[in-house]
Amino acid sequence: MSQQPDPLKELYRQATDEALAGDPPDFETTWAAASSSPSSPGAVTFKGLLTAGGGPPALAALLLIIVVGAALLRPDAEPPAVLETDADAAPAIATSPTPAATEEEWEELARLADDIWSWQAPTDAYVLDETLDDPGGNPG
Amino acid sequence: MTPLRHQIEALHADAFRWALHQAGDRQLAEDALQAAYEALLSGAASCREPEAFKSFFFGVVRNKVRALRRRQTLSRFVALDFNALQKRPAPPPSSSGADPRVAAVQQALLTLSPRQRDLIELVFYHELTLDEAARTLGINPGTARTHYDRAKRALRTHLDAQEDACLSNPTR
Repeated sequence: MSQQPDPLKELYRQATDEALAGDPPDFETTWAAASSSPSSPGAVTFKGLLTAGGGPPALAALLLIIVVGAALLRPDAEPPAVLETDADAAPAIATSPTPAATEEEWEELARLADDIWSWQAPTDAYVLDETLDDPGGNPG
Repeated sequence: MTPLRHQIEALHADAFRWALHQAGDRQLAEDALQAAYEALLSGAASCREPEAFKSFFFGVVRNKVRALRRRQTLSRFVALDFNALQKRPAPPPSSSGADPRVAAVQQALLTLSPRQRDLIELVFYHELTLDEAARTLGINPGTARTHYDRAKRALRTHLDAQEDACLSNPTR
């Protein structure tokens, strides 16, 4: 390594001394402040974020969280998709229509089913009868 | 006096100059220095290689300056203080009447990139090796060498041009 003083280095020192060679802060003061401070000046605390320069964005973020949370947790919200599993749905089918259903209710349900079936059968028969039994029928 | 305190006190003036070089603002430099001391005291930053303490310590100071500057920039942006956001560190004062080569170096420094200026400061003033300077800046030693060589070449080119101008016009 060369021991010759580099003239460029010397010029650099002279060029920057005026801007950078100011008196440093007192070491004892800085050391005492650093020793006694519970957190660094650069630490961002939640309270500091709300009350200092970061207030508006922090409040906006908080508002967004509240709005999204309210939308997700509203009473008429659909249940989460994870609940729609076979394990959850199976008890509902087994007890349908309700565990407290009476025999009359079951009979009513069966009658309704019969009605539906019996409504379709005569319609087919009517169309079939009209076509085959009276092919040249003219009401007039 | 603890060894850590002894080490830091020995580097206090240099660390402040380095912080001022990074910050371009005395208040920010003082805050960053205090934050760096706190990080070292609390153990948030600890040096694994005692022989490389200076480069490690300067790296902590640099990180604190950057963190505080980001916070300051955010605060100014939120406060819509666009005038303050546009402020840049003042260029070094021109030493009129002094050695013209010094003024030439000051002008040349303005043309360097921030990384090149950092490397020149660390090597020229703080006498760090390029490997130590690279560790301080968190960059590859090869990258540091490339930037350092370019910076030195730029300074020399500027100085040569200034001397040529003086020779061709001795009345200046």
